[in-house]
Amino acid sequence: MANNNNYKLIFTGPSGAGKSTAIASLSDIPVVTTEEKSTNLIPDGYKKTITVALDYGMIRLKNDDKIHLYGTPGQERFNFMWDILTEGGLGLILLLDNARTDPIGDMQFFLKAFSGFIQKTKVVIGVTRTDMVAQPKLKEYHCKLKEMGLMLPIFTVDARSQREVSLLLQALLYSLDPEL
Amino acid sequence: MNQPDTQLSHIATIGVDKQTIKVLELVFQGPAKGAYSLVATPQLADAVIFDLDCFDAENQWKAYREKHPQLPTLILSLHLKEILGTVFVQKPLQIERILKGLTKLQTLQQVEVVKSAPAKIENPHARDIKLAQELAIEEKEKAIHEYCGYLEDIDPKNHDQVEKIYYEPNKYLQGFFEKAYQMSQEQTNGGIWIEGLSDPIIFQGEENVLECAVGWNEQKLRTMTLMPLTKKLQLTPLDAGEIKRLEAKYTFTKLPLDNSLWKIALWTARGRIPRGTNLHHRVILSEWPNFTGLIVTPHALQITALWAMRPCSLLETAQHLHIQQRYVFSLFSATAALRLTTIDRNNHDSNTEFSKHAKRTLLQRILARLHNE
Repeated sequence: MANNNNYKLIFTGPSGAGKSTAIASLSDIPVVTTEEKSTNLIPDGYKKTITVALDYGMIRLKNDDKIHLYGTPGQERFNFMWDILTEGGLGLILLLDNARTDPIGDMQFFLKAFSGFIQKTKVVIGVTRTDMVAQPKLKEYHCKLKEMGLMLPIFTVDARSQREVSLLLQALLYSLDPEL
Repeated sequence: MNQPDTQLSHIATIGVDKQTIKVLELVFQGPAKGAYSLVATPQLADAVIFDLDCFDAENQWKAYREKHPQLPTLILSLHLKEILGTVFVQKPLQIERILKGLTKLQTLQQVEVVKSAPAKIENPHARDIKLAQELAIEEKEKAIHEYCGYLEDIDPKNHDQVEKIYYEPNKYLQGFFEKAYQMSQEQTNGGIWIEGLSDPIIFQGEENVLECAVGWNEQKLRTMTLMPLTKKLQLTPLDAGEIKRLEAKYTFTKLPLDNSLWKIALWTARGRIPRGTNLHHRVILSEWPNFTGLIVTPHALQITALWAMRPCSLLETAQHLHIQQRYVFSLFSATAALRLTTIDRNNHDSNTEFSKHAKRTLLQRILARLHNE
């Protein structure tokens, strides 16, 4: 994909973390989302559907470069697609849902699952739904990252906010090259 | 140059095409009788002629005003542009208009120097007709200067210049806020009350909440941060019951604690750094600030990314990123207040070269797009 002025950014994270919404916040085209009714009940109804295939959006740049935004399927049974999707990607945006049972465990899982891609590029982390469930605090995410020998940009994010998703992406770009 | 001198004789141009520059040279030598001369850069100039119809004008304007917020400026454009503190000359250029414009700029400058009161009285009608975008830029500039000040880059070998970049947080409200913040971080419940202020303020670290009694507002808080403290304040730990009693007595507004301390540090520092900070020793970043919940000062993400990648000194940071030192100093003061950065006492500048990303131009284009949204 990284030829003919086509590049891609990958959004990943568990179901309900806001990947589709975050892509929609940045995309110049209506987001193409393949969603079906969840078979797993989500009690508070915050997300009525979950993504079982990929999300797709696009940023068009002035010189006709296209940045394709891909959201990976959130469920582990689709992780065979992750390697294919990340090939040639510019970087990874990991979204975590603070209202899930073990969001820090989710973070460890996704960082491990995408470790090969992260070593070649960079990752930033957005934690959603902190307004609904305050624990764990960002401090606890940072502590776990330190245990893993990592220091990463990790922000609380409202996936509907263009500003906040944009800040996350800017942090990714500067992490790739601070001298931009 | 760039002093509040009323004689504007050295003129730099930005965004002006070669043909127009040639015309200006002829005008300055001929009809203006040598009263003005062109210089190569704004740093050497008493005033600037800026063509707002040039390519990438908006970004160029932003960059220029960031670097030279107070330099008298004559704006050239085909369309009316009324920007505070500037003089507008409509294109196509005519000798008489240029000379009148420069004279007007000179007069404005004289008025500015003579004025004893610093506050400007704005003409509401003029304000109404400004383009929304220009107003937005002005507002943004004003906010940036409130947080980052106006300090020019210093020469680290010049003792007088170095002295100007230091301040003592403990002499200001910031010092007490920092202590209260640290104490509140160590509590599992309850809070810290700053006693001695006109209205109560309570820190609740666990909740990341700053409770300010109704007498406080942002303007009052900012004013307080700018003045050295004259009376003694006291920090008192409160348990949950005591907080409830205070909440019953006063009406409180709840603010995010980290963002409040961050702002107070920026307001107090205004582009300076706490006394004792070594300019040549490396900055150690312990974790990224939660930028979505904080004031993002110019280049803050870029600076943080650099510190996260490799510790380097404050001066080295500004030099590597080709940015004004005051933006590095501002971010350092704010992050240090939240204990997110410290100075490595043992190591000096490393002078390590950075590797350029293979797709730097592409990344720059994505960034430009995000900044313009």
